[in-house]
Amino acid sequence: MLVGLFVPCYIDQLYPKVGKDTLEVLEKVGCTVVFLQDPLCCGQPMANSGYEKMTRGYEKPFLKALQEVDYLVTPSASCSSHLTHHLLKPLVGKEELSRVRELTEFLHDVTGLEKLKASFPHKVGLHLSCHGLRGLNLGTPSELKVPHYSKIEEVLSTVDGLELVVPPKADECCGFGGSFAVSEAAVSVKMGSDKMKGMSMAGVEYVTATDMSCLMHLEGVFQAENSPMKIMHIAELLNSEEGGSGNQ
Amino acid sequence: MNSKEKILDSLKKACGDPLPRPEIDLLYDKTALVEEYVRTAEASGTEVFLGEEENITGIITQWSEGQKIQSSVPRLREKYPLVFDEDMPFDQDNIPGVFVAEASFGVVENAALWFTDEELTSRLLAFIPEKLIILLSRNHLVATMHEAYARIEEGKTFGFGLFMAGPSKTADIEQTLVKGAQGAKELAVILY
Amino acid sequence: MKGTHANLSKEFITTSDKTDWHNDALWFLRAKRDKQRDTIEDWEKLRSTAAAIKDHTLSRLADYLQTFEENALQNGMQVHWAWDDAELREITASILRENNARSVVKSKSMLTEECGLNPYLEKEGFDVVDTDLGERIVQLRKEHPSHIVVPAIHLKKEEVSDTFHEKMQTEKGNADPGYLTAAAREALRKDFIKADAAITGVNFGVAESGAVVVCTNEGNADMGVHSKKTVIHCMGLEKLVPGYKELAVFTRLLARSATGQPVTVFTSHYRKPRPDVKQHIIIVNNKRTDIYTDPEFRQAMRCIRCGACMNTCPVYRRSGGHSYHHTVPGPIGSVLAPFYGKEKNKDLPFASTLCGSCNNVCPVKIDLAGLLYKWRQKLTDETSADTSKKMSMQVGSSILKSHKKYGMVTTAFRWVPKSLLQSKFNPWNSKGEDGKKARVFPEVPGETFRQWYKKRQK
Repeated sequence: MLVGLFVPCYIDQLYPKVGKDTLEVLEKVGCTVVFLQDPLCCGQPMANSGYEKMTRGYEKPFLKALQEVDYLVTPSASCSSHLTHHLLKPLVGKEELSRVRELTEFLHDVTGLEKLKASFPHKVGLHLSCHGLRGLNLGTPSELKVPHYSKIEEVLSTVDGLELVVPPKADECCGFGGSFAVSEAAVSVKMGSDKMKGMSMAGVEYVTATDMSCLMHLEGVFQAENSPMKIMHIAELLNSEEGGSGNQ
Repeated sequence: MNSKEKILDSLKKACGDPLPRPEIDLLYDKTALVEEYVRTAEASGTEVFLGEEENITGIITQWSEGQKIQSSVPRLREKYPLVFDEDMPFDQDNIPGVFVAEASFGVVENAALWFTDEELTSRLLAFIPEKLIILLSRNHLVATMHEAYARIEEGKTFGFGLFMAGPSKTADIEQTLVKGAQGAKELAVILY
Repeated sequence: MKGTHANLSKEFITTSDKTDWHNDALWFLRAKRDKQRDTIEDWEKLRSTAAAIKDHTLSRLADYLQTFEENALQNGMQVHWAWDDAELREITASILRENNARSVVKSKSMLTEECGLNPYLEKEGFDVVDTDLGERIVQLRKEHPSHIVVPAIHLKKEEVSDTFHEKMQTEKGNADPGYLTAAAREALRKDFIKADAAITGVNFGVAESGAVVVCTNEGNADMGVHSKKTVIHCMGLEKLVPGYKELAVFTRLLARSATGQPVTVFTSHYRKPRPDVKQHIIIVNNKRTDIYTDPEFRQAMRCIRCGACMNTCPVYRRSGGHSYHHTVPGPIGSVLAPFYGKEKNKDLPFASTLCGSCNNVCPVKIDLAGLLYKWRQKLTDETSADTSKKMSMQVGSSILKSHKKYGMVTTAFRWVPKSLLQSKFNPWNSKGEDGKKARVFPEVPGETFRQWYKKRQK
């Protein structure tokens, strides 16, 4: 299966390890992966700020990639959701859109979890990012009365030694929200700080999510408040061999 | 064009094709269980007495603790005459200490009791006395609001219709629940 | 801009210790709502049915309004139509004058708040007393409701106690909610006795029966309606449902969504006036036809004003209702507000992280986050631009569109010293009230993913 990997701008710049781990995880499960050089950004930063029209042309490299690969995969639920709900939605059919996938969703729905092998012997708190949960339906949001499922929990259950904690209000927004983080900094930081308290009460060492943007915001708050908690993107957990028995 | 015409005109111009009136096809348990009603009623702050026709007045007397009782229930009117005068609604001598009425029916899912002018005789009587005692026949329970409104639609038309689910309450100060905001402070139901 | 949501919410967070308390108080309602949801097996179907009923009703709204009027007239009600807020105020005042009414008791009505009825009537020499406890509290404090269902949720009991002590001579320092409620009951009873007329809002208008339905927990609407000879119900034109069968769906949803009660304590159906009573219904537009005419935004008219979107909104809970500077706050308020002034309310659709929780609690399934997103696109076009934001977006979008520029920025970014990236010149590094950093920019790694990948290819 040929997978085109889209590494969003901020992951490329600030968290390259997340891109590397995503690539390696996809290879581990047997995909042939090409990194998509052309697309730099899904356009969400502008669109969420009300300037969708400045992102005209952003769709082109994605449309081109869709013709060349079986799946377009990205380690960002938020970008994936923007691609499928906004940027590409008016341009391509449903079937085509379903070839754009966030990493967790892709592993869960397409490749299956059998070949995943990782080890991370720590207590990890799960932050359910809004776009993953409510945009991509990676699990059941707490507002709805629907049978419980969680693709993220299933995927993470393959990691040896990982003790996953889903604290109360795990699906409350962390406060990032794109330009909201800056234009409404007071509320944004307050939300992040409350998320931190919830995680800290749950006694976790790490906080994970399907979105590096949430984690970047949380990391910034953790650091300002001298919290010992660290952040790890889900791809980093899935590619970790810490404490494992040498599973190369 | 007057405002009515202007409003209707604007709406008509923009309305588009009419959508069909949806079928209301919802799941619910149609058995109206007495135990379930008692549970929802108590949760609403209502005191529930399980009685029989014969001991209704006994329960009323006991619960009323000597206050002036008035009733709109035909079979109780002789014992508890109704002297409330709508034209002097706030006259203290006029207001019953305890008002006894019979509900047309009750709804199990939310403990709502249905009254119309027929059961209340004066609309204000459902609100102004501090204590209310409501008679409710076990045979007059429906499971949900769907059945309740079906029954209302089949029944006689009314001038005023009221669902009452518990004593008057408020939580407007720091979310602290306080009974008896404006209406009755206490509500008892005799399920017979 | 001083009065924007960002500034007002900052004040709410930094100058008061109430943020956490406010957050918890509203979350309590959300949690109660979840419990009620769990008692209904096909809750999600109930919501979609409600949405479909509203869409059907809206698609035939003109017909239903006419049916409603005919039935109401036949029942002996008097029906008036108000194009805008001014007309509602004038009709109300003229009804009061015709009936020699000087003082009015009024139950909760966001519509009359929206139309500025109280200040107008007061200016015209009428006494108006809000009888819902929460509304009475904010009225005495000369404030506005901060929430559409729990209007005084922004106040602590000590503040209510101080207000009551000052205005109603309650014991100083006694902040027991039971005591304060009893005091308000006693005072309001006098207002009920004194009043000449009663005004209410309307939760539902039933087209096929001509009834207006008013839901309260306190019974305050009924105390006025059944004791006065002049009664006025103010109804937004979107409040209609076709018949009782449909009303059942909404009475099951409203209180469960709003406060987590299975139903409001009182659900009053006013159909025919008592003898010798003049009972009026004013059907009010006030921009609703504008919302109706916009195909993208029409779904906002499904709203039954339950407030569930406010209770769940992580931003609303932490910023308080007044930070929205519009009658209806929170997600639905931010969707409606630009219809009442694009320029002055252009910040509100941005006062959200678009997390989508509101969509999921909305009993009529309004795509609130989607509509906020749509407003953002429209407002940047149709209102004066925030120049610095627009410029940064233009710069950003051109960089992210061009590999050449992106490459140059990648290099330049790595020359910027960490001390600068983590300084106050980077807006990311927000500061708290104490001047301490509240959020820190991450360290920039030496190489990007792209650079690493290039090496790996070799």
